Amino acid sequence: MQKTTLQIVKEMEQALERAEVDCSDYFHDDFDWIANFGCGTKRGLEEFERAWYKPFRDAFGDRHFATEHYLEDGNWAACFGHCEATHHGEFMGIAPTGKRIKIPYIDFWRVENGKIAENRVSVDFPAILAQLGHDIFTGKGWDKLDSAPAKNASLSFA
Amino acid sequence: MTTMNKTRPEQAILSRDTDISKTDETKAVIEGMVDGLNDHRITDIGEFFSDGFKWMGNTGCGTKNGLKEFQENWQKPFQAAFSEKVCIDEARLYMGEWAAAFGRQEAIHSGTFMGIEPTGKKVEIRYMDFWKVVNGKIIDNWVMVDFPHVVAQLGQDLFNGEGWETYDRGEKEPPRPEN
Repeated sequence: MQKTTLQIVKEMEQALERAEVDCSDYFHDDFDWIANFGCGTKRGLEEFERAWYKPFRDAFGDRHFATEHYLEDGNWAACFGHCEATHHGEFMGIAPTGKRIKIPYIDFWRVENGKIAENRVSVDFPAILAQLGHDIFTGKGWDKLDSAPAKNASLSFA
Repeated sequence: MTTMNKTRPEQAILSRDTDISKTDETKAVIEGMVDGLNDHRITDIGEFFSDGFKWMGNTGCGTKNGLKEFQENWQKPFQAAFSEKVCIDEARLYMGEWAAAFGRQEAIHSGTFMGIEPTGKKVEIRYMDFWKVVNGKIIDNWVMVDFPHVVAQLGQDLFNGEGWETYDRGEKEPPRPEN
């Protein structure tokens, strides 16, 4: 039976959680990984592995992905959630602290012929830095306007 | 059929909490809301959002509890910093009570933003959204708006050269994990 878009995406996520080295079962060789500022743009599977997957694993160990909701519409799927991980390698100039941190993310995937062809991503690097004691917005973030953080707001660390 | 399959595998586990019959209603609310925001409506935007809705943004954007905080602590500062805003979804997905989109807002930097005086520059403000719609109104909105990218377009790097784009451009060699 042909796999659904979401099944393909879920299998890929489980493989990444297991830190499977070869991801070619899930991604086309020339897939595009396009993320927010600070994370970059990876053209193709090799670049994704070299310039995202490996440095991410180097900085953050014992990763657990807590995805809160998945959505599927045709050949697109999307999800949001956070990764819980241990800061065990240097991250953006900050030496390992051993802290357990939460890394919020949103992902969109476009699937073609059973594999991911495009991955649009937001990973909240400023949230990581904030948990490591560094406010990149130097007090000017709009979270300073908030009354109180919402309950169960997985994406918010205000 | 000669045999009965007693233990059929459970189907559609990932979407079992989603009421697919609600997809059309969700679509109507989200489309109306996007048009409403593009028309710069603030005071009557409650047509699309429930009073107690939660807007949960990424670091630098914050969490807005309820419509009033969304208007006061998101819409107003946004309109103070940016004008002539146009919102363009690049992909939009619907599934039951849920919708998701990513895209960009194009706007003019016409007011102070993160301490940067107005430059008059046209900027791209990239975003990703997840919405949950119940009884015709948005009750939850999870959001990531790329403020560091906006600041970069105004000439400042909030990551001080530590962004992983340096790996993409070959300016730095990424580490290789042992695990």
